[in-house]
Amino acid sequence: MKKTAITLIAFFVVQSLFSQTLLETYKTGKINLIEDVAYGSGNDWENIFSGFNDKSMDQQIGHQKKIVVAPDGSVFMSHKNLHQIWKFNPEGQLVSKFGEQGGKPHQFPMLPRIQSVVADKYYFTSDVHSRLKFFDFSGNFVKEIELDYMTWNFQPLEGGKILLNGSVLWKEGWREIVALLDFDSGKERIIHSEFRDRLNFSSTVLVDERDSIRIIRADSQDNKIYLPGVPYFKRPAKILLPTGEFMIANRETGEVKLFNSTGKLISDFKLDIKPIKINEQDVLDNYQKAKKNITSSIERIKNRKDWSEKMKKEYLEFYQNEELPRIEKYKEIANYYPYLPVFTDIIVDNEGNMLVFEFTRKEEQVDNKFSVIAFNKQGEILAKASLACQNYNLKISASTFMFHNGFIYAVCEEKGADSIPLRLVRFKLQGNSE
Amino acid sequence: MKCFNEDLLQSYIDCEVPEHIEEEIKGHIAECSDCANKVSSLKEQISFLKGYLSRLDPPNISIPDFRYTKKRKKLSWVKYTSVAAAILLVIFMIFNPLRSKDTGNYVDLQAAEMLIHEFLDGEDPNQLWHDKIQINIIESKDGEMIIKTSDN
Repeated sequence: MKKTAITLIAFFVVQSLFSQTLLETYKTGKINLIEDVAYGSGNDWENIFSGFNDKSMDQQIGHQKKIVVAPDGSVFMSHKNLHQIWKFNPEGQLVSKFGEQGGKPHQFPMLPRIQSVVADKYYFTSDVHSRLKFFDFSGNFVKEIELDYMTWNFQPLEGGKILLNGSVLWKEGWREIVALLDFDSGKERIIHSEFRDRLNFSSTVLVDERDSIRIIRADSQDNKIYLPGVPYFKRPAKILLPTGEFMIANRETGEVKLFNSTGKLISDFKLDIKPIKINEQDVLDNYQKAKKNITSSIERIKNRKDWSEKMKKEYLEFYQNEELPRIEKYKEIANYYPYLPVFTDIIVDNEGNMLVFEFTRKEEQVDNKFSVIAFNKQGEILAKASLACQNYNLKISASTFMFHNGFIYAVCEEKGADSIPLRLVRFKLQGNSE
Repeated sequence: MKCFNEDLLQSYIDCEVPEHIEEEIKGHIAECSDCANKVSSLKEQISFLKGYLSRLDPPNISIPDFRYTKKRKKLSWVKYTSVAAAILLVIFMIFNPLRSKDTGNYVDLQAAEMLIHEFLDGEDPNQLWHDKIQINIIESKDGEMIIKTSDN
């Protein structure tokens, strides 16, 4: 009897220690992400991520991963350079790799992006042609559903339903879509759609002996310079909630619209966040960086031994006569939109809190510190906190930063790693009071 | 979008497909390495055959274009009406007063815009801001597009 009582007391003490909700942790103001060192400890990360430096698409793509966490804690990962899905078990060990390039149902004709887990037993992938391929947790193909528009985010709901958002480009603008997909029937119903402006493009055609290429740049409709870039600035954030509701947030104004599961607007509010104002130093930094990029391109071209003089001349003329004069307007603060976007990303944690990440200045981001504000669905601020991680460089993106059962699973880079720094890490959130 | 069969790709190379199909194929092969490979392999075959024939032919024999001959069929009134409607539609699209300013070949730029959005989908914008990354797209003549950021 005495033994049972002691066991029960010990159980409740342990429970109370670990029962702090995420919101209570955010309210402590300062949160440290503490690595679970046992997670994935048997992995040879350098071997697993040996393709980290892959630049086969003319840019580094070997580090670009996307993850989802299954209900049992297994992690599925997709890659920008592999037609494969990797599975890590709940302890973080890489246990299997599924998939290959090809046109058969179980194969991937295009690079797959892991999306989510539906009905607690199937994970699914999407590709640029909106082929959704469903597999069981052992990698066996289950079914395929193809949609008519490009898909971005997915939120599984109860009863095998999936809330998704996508977009299709019409001549006059983007049609942004939110739809409800039924896994069993494969039928999809659009519950919300709206139009937004397209980007404005300028392009230059260069001709060389082998072929011609076109260099395309995205500009704003109002000819202003937007930091960190107009395509990101003008792109609304869509937040799909496990309740079937969804939000559309404007990065420029901070306005958020909340819709119910039938697509009806139920409320709108403005995030109480002051965006960072661009200053003269930002303008100077941006100009100098742009100029440095162009001058280093010029140097690279001059030193190319595999190009003919004619080809070099054409490219050099482009950089000297077109690119250098083009960036002159980068020097003037009056040519800039005066603010950064209101937020970088909005991520919903596993308790349903809406976490809005703010932009930070580089010099302020010591120890990988991120500023985050927790909101509820009515737009009320619940907590403000800073999120710090000492040993890893985090990338705050819904693709690589996932909440599950009070933990954060992240694909991140270890600081000071000898060669390949990429890791899959599980973090515990430790509030200031702990 | 599904992959195109070889006949259609051949017609595309021979410039025998309607413009909107041509743009659709261009957009597709920019994304699909299988079809891009098929197109370049078919082009190689043609080039080889032309080269081979040119070596055989005396100068006074011209090499024909590699085009399929189309069989003329008798059109029904339904087809005549459809053709007329299509022509009217094309005329309307060209002279449409509601059309915005011309931004070039918008089907190509559609692929560019899609590519940018796909790129941004996994990026941390705070990092883009710190690194002052600028995004350009490089498009080759055969429609292949890649993202080129300012740091590489």
